[in-house]
Amino acid sequence: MNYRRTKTQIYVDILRSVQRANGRLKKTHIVYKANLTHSRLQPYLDFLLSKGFLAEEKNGNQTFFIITERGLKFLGEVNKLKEISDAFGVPL
Amino acid sequence: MEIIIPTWFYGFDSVMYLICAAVGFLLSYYFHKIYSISSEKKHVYIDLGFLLLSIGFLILAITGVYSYITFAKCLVSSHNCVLGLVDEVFGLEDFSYFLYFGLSISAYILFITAFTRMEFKFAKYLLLALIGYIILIVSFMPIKEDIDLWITYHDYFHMTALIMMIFISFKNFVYYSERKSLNSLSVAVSFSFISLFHLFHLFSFVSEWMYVFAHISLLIGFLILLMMVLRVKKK
Repeated sequence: MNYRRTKTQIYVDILRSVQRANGRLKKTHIVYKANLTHSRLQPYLDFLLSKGFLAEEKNGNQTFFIITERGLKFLGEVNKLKEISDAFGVPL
Repeated sequence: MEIIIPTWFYGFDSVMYLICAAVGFLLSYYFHKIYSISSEKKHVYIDLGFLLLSIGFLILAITGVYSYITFAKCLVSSHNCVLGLVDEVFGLEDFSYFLYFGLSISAYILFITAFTRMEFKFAKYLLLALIGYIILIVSFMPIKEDIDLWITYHDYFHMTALIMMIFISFKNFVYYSERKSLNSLSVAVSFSFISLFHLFHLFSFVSEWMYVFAHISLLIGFLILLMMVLRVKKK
């Protein structure tokens, strides 16, 4: 299927992939779980970090991305919008 | 045919239109948010559909209030006054009802386009067919001079709207039978009540209660939609 995600859908996919991994994920894992390349992922991560939806956590040489309360709240809002659009038979 | 409107109901219909407009604006706002995430046309069609429908209700509510205030003034004055007339032929009520008719039919076309996952070019043909149908009605229907212009076209509008709403309700019941969710049932039932609004209006020459039942059906339809949204937001 020829399907192009919107920016917001990509933000949601990144946040969901982190949330599903118990709220903590390395960049490499986000790359394949959100189906993006390293270079394409970086601006999205920068945006989510700047908005406070994600936070960085250093553990030795490794950097983890953690979903924040704000990020969870945003995902909750998206889920509610999905329920409304599902009710009308026009799924999000 | 004439429309029998009970005098005791004056004002209530405007309040009901205002409530329906508020719910419609709320749904339009949510579908606008949904569209900002998905960028899918079907979502923007529903967004615009509810927006047009709400503007239509708002126009009816404002005109209704204006007409009733004029009517109340007429009752106390001994002058021979005419209700909200723009000119000899085309009254203010005619103007607002024609706007409402056009906005509602456009909204229903947008809903059908979204729910049938129809390509917009087919929706354009549907729109062209409807315009042709309206031109036929306007060209061949005799205008009665003793009643308002909008009442002459009232039955044709409600008949057209009823057919469209039955189709929309049917599509939503089919979707409910696949999903079996309370929210999709709420949407299907609410569209059925809006269909009843048009059906009762078609029989508003029979009794004054038909006009009342029509508005109660419309209000129930929109309140069911509001309850569905509140239920989702409360989670």
